[in-house]
Amino acid sequence: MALLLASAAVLAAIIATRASFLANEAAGHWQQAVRSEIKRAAATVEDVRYVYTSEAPLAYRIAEAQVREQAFREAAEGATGEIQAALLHEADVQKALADALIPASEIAADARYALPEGGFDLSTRLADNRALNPELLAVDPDAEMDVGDRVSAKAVMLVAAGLPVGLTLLLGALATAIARYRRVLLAAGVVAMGSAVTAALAIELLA
Amino acid sequence: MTRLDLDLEVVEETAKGTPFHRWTAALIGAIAVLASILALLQVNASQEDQRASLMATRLSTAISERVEASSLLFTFSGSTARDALALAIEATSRTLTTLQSGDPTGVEEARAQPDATAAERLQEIAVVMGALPVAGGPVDPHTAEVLRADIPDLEQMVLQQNQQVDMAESWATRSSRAVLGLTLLALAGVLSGLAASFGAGRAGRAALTAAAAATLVAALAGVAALLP
Repeated sequence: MALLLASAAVLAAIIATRASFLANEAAGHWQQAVRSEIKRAAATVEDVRYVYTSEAPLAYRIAEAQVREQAFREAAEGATGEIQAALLHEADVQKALADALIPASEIAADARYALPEGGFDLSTRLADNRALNPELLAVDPDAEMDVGDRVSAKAVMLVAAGLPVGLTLLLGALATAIARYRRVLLAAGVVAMGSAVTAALAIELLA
Repeated sequence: MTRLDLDLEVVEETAKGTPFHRWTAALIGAIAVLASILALLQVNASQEDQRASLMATRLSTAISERVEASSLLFTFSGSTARDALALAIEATSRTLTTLQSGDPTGVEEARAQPDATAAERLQEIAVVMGALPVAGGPVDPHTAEVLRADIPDLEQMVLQQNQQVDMAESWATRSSRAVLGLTLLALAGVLSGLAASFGAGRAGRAALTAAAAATLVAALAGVAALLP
């Protein structure tokens, strides 16, 4: 009887300790998911900011100069004399402007980003910028959250496995006080204890 | 996390077999069972509380990310559209001014037309350059999703975030109720030990009655921990 009660107390302590570790581990994964979310958000916003506020305005300015140059040259083809000269002059001005700006723009300097209808492919540029830091692209808070969920479920299940331990203690306590049913109560206590051990082991190994 | 301890000496004290000792033993056993149930409720509620609280934080971050990133794209898109429109207005203004003040050489009027043409093309280019990334395009899915977030998406996320905050508060309350129950059970355990030590006299009965009352209130706290 004393052995049963002592075993139940020890098992309860083991289950409580293990469940506590698992609960802390789950919380750790969830907190890591928050940190990952912040990290991913910061990286995304920074890449978007760099492309659309640092690079894109200059690229658009170059596209504007190129489009205006083309428009002036097209207009000059149908003109003559002083007007044609003025239009070609303006086209040259726009070309010089574009030529001066292109070396400063990684987007405009790379033919891969040029669009056939004019302008530049900023989506591809953004994708290329993001690909420079593959470790940041690989950040996945949802995966961390899922791990935390699994560990948390295991912790809760393990505590649930402690329910038969409580029952064992009840039966053991009653066995000490009710001599008439002592054997039956003890046997039931042993069964409850066995089920608790089996459940705890199964959860620990399989969950 | 609450550890369940059983004082074996107290159990041994109840072994005399009188009704008082049987009640004491039964109460100690009931405390053990109730403690295991309340521990389960408390651990579950505590885990749900932490999860919901951290999910709310995650969603806040995700909402900020979408607001900030999409506003950068929209700002660029709006700025380029404005620039293209300004060029068109400049071309029109040049034509109007020429008509009002005269243009002997025709150069000014000739310059207006290419700018008007360029402005039309630039408006199309501004739309293309400021376009949202398409699904399955070169941009990674997360960034594309962030940039495509619109007001209904954000409203939905805010709703989810608020729900998580409410859930966290609810689970925290339930966890506190379970902790209250466990605290009362600890008190009941001490009182049961005292009852066993005092024996079947007035003091022992008083301690046992108080222990039973504490256990009953702990059980009610456990029921309350089940309610949202």
